[in-house]
Amino acid sequence: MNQYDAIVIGAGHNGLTNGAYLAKAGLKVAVLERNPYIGGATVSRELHKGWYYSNCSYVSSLLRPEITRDLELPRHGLQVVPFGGGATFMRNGDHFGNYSDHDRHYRELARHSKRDANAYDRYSADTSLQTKLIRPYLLRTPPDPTSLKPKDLRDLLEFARSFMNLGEEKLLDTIKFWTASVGDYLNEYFETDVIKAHMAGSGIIGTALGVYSPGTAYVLLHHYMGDVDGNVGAWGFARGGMGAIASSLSKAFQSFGGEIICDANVDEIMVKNGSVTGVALKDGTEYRAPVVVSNLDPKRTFLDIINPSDLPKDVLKKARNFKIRGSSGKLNIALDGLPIFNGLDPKNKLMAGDLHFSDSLERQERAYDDWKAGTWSKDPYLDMMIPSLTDPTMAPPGKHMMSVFVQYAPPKVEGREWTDEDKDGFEKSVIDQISNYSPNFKDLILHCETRTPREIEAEVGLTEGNIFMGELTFDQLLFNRPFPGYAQYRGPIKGMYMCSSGTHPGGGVMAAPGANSAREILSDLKRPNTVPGEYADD
Amino acid sequence: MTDYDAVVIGAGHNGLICATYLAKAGHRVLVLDGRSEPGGCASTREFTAGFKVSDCAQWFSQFDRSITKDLNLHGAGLKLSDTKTTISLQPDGNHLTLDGDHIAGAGVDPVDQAAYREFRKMMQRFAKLMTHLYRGRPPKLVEHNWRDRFTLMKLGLGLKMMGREYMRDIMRIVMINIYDVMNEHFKHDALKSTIALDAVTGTNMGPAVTQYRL
Ligand SMILES: Cc1cc2nc3c(=O)[nH]c(=O)nc-3n(C[C@H](O)[C@H](O)[C@H](O)COP(=O)(O)OP(=O)(O)OC[C@H]3O[C@@H](n4cnc5c(N)ncnc54)[C@H](O)[C@@H]3O)c2cc1C
Ligand SMILES: Cc1cc2nc3c(=O)[nH]c(=O)nc-3n(C[C@H](O)[C@H](O)[C@H](O)COP(=O)(O)OP(=O)(O)OC[C@H]3O[C@@H](n4cnc5c(N)ncnc54)[C@H](O)[C@@H]3O)c2cc1C
Repeated sequence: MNQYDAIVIGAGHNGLTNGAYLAKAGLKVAVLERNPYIGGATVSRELHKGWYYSNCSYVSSLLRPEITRDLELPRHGLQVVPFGGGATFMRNGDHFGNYSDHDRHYRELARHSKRDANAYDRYSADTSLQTKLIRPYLLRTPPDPTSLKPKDLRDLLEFARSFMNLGEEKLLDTIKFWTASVGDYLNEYFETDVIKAHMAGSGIIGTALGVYSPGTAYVLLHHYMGDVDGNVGAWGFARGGMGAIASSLSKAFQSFGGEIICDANVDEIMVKNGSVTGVALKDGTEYRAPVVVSNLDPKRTFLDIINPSDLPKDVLKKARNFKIRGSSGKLNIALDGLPIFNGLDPKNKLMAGDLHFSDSLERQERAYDDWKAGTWSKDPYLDMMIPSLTDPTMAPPGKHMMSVFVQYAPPKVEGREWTDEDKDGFEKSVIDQISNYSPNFKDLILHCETRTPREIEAEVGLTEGNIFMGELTFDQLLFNRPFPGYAQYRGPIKGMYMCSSGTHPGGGVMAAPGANSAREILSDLKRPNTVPGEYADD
Repeated sequence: MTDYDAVVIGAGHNGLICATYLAKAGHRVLVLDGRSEPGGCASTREFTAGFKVSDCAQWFSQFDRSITKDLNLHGAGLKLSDTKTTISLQPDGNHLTLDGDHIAGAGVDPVDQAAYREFRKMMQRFAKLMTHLYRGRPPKLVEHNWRDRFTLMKLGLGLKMMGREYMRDIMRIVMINIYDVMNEHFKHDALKSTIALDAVTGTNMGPAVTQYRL
């Protein structure tokens, strides 16, 4: 019997979170997934025997602790192990180390510049002020500023008040921060190229913008606002790869009676008399439910799986104009042993952190110039990690697994589709970049899985391969995400909802969109709320 | 005699306007400029015998017309030509001309022509809202007095009065770059680049990174 209270399309981590909270409230819920496996971009796969790749997302920090605790994810097998530090290698053979120990970090900063070392605490304090501002809004539905409903007005007022409480000067700093480029922001504190370049990386990851594009300071914040075990800004590895997050969510969902159906490729959301009635798969199977939630990005949701005649015109236009440009690629590499990096002792703890090879803002901006010209960066910015140093289960004993996130790779190459030769060229530019700093690296490669935006789109269904399901710029954040007028998780058709990273608070393995959306659905159904609010932890 | 009520440093057009209002209110005002001629960026210079040039600024459009009237600049000799037509030269000779709402040439189709009129209408609404802000000092946001509050209220009210869709548009569009705005509205390349020029003039950013400032 294919009749449910609610159907979630897509078993990404947000779809699973959404399903879990609906099922917890007593609804009969099915999550339909196109792939033979769950997780979407939060997945571990064994593509080379004995090696587990976190194929897409690779590190965890954004996952809301309220959800981890509420759904008892640790009991369902989730363990996040923090890693400390990282480094940026320089062309002159030196490097900048990012130590998690405060005093050690001060000494390292001072080794490059005394002035920068002294600016660092001010920078940290200013940035953490911004994270404090945003964190309370992650597990909430954004208010609609054009609405006169009491709830919206009350939320807006509270939002305004938290800004006013900053005082004139800090408020102006905040406005500047939220609109500035990460380059300009860092230039206000630091003078040393490598220090700025090390920090600027977080401002461009996953965005089709450069270090000097306005709005990238916010992207930096997006990477700072998470935590591991209450340690704000810290990142960690999920033991067993990111798939452990999806797997623990699916167990929580199933423990509430939820059902996951894989190999279920949804073709269309069925609509009758202005209300949804269920979904139809590509193979013709139908599942019926009065509530249908989409875990797909806004473009796929509104332009692929809904009949245009069921949608208001403005939604079609807004969906077409939604900015979701692919800008990243990834290499997952099986290694025969540990690579050696110039100037860094292999026993140094930094080896287990995030390693980078772009030592100035200028190089990063030029990498972006390549993207604008429609090609992959010839001198790419890499966020490279060796997770097997922290979690030995990722590779056979003595061997290692390397994850390389690459910025930039365009959704199309000079306006045409990616070819296999392009993919080889892209792979080569990344491997060469690493080899420049690691003499034994090339010889250790046993297997390399290369993913351009083409592969990411084909496998996960992220339009253009955009990792956040839509650019994180202010025209697409808060009450503008995904579009103005539709930021409260409700679609334009009765019974239709959205729960993906394309909704507030955006991309990353955060689970907040899935949870917020469930709260709105339960309130429409007049069911008791099962979704936790934010912790007063800051 | 070197005793004044106020000294203005710099005889740019803003210095001159400021001084004029002070003088008009009965103060003794002195304007000093390092150069031999007043005007700053808004001046005319004979750069070679018999040839004159607008030294820096060449287009007159943002000037607040209430000041023209208030200070009777026309009476003092200011003459303005008709509004300018923008012509974007095309290699094949079929040039694109933009004249108010009227748009012609370069094979711009009726869809883009209509989109252009819509776009201008939207811009004019936004501009009207912004004029409120330009006519006064920028309000303080937290330590505001009654005057700042009044400005902010007028701005908020102006936003609400625009209607829901316009309000949503403006809250989205102020944060977006001109490259995307052009692609959202138009198909025609030359039309897009002609309009986008105003957004990049004078900034060190390219169209894909510039925020709204048409
Ligand atoms: C290369 C890469 C690296 C990243 N690195 C990180 C990182 O280190 N840390 C971090 O926090 N975030 C990272 N991200 C971002 C993060 O992974 C995503 O934002 C997040 O996982 C998206 O989750 P979601 O549930 O919203 O969507 P998804 O995970 O995309 O889930 C959507 C699901 O819908 C399914 N689907 C699509 N179409 C259909 C259909 N027609 N019928 C049925 N099912 C369908 C898909 O198969 C998929 O399972 C990365 C992303 C990528 C791509
Ligand atoms: C190349 C160029 C093209 C432009 N095109 C346009 C255009 O087409 N349309 C438009 O609307 N705007 C244009 N602008 C911008 C516009 O011209 C300026 O923003 C405006 O004229 C500035 O006016 P101001 O009074 O604020 O300053 P300024 O005009 O810069 O005046 C400052 C004055 O202070 C004087 N001064 C400086 N230091 C001292 C000192 N120590 N002691 C005494 N005097 C001093 C200077 O000599 C100058 O006269 C253009 C600007 C440039 C540079």
